Amino acid sequence: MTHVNLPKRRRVLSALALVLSISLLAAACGDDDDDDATSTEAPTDTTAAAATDTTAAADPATATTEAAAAAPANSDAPKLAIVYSADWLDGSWGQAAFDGANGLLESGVISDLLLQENVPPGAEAQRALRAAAEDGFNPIIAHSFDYGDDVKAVAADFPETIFVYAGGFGDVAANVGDYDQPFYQASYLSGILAAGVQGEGNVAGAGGFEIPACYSMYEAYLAGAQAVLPDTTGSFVAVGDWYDVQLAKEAALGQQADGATMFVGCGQGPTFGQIEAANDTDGVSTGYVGDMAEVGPSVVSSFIWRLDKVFELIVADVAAGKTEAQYYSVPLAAGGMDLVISDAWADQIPADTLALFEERLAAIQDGSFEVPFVPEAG
Amino acid sequence: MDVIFKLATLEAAIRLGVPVALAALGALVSERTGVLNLGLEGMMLSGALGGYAANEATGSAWLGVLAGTLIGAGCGAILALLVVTARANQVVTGIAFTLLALSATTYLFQLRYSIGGIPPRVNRLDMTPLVLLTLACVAALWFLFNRTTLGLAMGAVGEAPEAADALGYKVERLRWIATMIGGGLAGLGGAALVCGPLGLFIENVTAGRGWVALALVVFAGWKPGAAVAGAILFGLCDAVQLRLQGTATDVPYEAFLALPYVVTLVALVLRARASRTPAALGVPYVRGM
Repeated sequence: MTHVNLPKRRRVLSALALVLSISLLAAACGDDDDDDATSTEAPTDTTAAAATDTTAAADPATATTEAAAAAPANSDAPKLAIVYSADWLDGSWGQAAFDGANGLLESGVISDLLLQENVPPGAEAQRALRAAAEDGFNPIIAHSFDYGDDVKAVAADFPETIFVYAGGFGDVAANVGDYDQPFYQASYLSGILAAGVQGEGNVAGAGGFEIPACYSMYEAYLAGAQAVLPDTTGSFVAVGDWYDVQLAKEAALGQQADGATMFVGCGQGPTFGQIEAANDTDGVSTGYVGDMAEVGPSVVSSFIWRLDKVFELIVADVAAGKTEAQYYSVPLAAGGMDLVISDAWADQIPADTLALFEERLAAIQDGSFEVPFVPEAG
Repeated sequence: MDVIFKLATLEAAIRLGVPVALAALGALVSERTGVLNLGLEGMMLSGALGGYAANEATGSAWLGVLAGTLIGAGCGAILALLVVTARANQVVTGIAFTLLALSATTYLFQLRYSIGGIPPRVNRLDMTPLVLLTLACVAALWFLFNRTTLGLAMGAVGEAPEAADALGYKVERLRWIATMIGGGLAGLGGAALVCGPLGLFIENVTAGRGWVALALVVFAGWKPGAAVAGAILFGLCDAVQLRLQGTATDVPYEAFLALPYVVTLVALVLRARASRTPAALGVPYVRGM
C-alpha cells in the first residue's frame, strides 16, 4: 500500500489524521453510545445519568430530578422509559413529554425514569425499546407517531410489558397502546380569542404533514374564529417537514398574501414559522403544546399539553398489574390541556369575546358542547 | 399558474434560494480542485450557529455573517487536514463531519440558550445586500476560475493533479485553499439564513439545504452562475408549491411537496450528457502513485 512509500512526516500526519477521523466518527455516534451505556447500567444510576444529562441546561428540572432520584418515595412504583426521535428540550413536543415524565418522578408516581432522545424510528428504536424492556422498565412510551411498527415488533417479545406510542388514532392490540392528541379542543378556544382581537382576515393553518391531529386543529381553530366572525375562511398547508422553520415561514407568508391574519401551526417548525410570519405582518398566532408567549409578540394564546395526566393513566395500568394496553385519552374536559392567554394580550381581548370564550370553555368542560373533530379535508 | 409570476412568490424564491446558492458555490470551489465536500451541510449549520451567536453578542448582523464565514472556513480547514493532507476517504469523512456538526451545534445551542426557554431574536439583514453579496461571489468565482492563474491551477488540480504537480503547482496547498474557501462560503450560506430572513436559530435550522446544494453543483455542471440559478429555481419550486397547496384542492398535497425534487431530478437527467465532472473528484493525490 501507499504507506510503504511515505516519508516519515507523512506517516506521522497520517496517524494524526486517523486519530482525528476516528474521534470525529466516535463523537458523531456519541449519542448512541451514551444511550446504550445508560440503558444497560443499574436502574437507579440510569435515572440520574440519563435525566441529569438531558437536563444539564435546565436548572429547575435537574434539581427536581436529582432530588427524586436521591430519595425515591416509592421504590415499588413502576419504572417509566420514554424514547423520542428529536431533542427533549425542543420547546414543544419533546419538552411536553420531558416535563410530564419528570413531574411523575417528582411526585413518586414512578420510581425510575429513563429518557432517550434522538432515537430514529427503525432498527435503532427497536434496540432502545428492547434494552429498556430488558432492564425492567414498564411502561415504555415511544413519543412519536412513526414508532408504531417498532413498538409492535418489540412488544411481541415482552407480553408482560405495556408499550405505548403517540399514534393518536386508537391503535390498540394486546400490550400495545396509543395515546390521544385532542389538540383541536384547545385550538377551537384559541380561534375564538384570535378572531376577537384581530377582528378581520382569514385563518392560516400549517402542519408538517396533513395528519388528523394537525388538520383537526386547523378546522377547530377556523370554527372558533367563525363563532366570532362568521365569514372567516382559511387554508391549510402541509410544509413537508416538522423542523424546517424557513420553509414553514414562507408557507405562512404565502397564506398571509392571500389574506390570512390568524395563524395556527402544528409541529415545532410549522408553529415557529406561523408565529414568525405573524410577528412580521401584524397578525396573531397561537402557541402549540407549551406556553409560547415569549416566542413572539403575536402569540395571543397557547395550550399546554398535560402529558403527565396521560402518562399517569398508563402508569396506573401497570401499577394495577394489567398487561393489556388501551387508548389513553385525556380530553380538555378532564384537564388534558391548559389554555393560557399571553400576559401581553390579557387586557386586549374584547369583553364579548372573553365571555364567549369562557362560556364555550365551561360548556366543553361540563360536556354540553363538543368541538367538531374534522380529521381530513373533504 | 399566475402564482409563479407574482412578485411575492419571486421574493420568497430568493429568500429560500440565497442560502442554498452560497453553499452550492462553496461546494463548487472545492470540487473544482477535486475535493468532494460532503461536510457541506455540517459547515452550513456551524456557520449558522456561529453567525447567530456573534449577531446576538454584538448586535450586528454583518458581524454575524462574517463570523459564520470564518467558522465555515475553519470547518473547511479541518476537512482539508483530514482528506487532503491525510487522504482520508472523502465520502466517509464528509458524512461524519456533518453528523458531528449536527450533534455539536445542537449541544452547544442547548447549553447556552435552553435555560428558561426561548432563545432571543437577532438583528436581520434585508435580502438586497445578501443578493448583491451572492452575485459578487459568483462574479469573483467566475473571475477566479477563468481569468487568474490561481483559478486555472485549481482547475488543473481537479482534472489532472499529476500534470499540475509536474508543472510545479502545489496540489495540497491549492486543495487546502479551495476547501477553506468552500467551507467559508457554506458557513456564509448558513449565516445568511439565520442573520437574513429568519433572525433565529433552532436545532438543525438548515434542514438539509447543504445536500440540496451538493446536487445543484452537479446540475450546474460546476459553473458558478448556473449553480446560483439552480438554487433560485429550487427556491421557486418550493415557494410555488406552498402557495398552490393553499389554492388548489383537487390535487393531493403530496404531489406539491414532491415538486422541487422532481424538477431537480429532471434537470439532472437532462444535463447528464453534458456532465463536466472534474476528473480527479474524490481522489486523494499521492505524488508518484
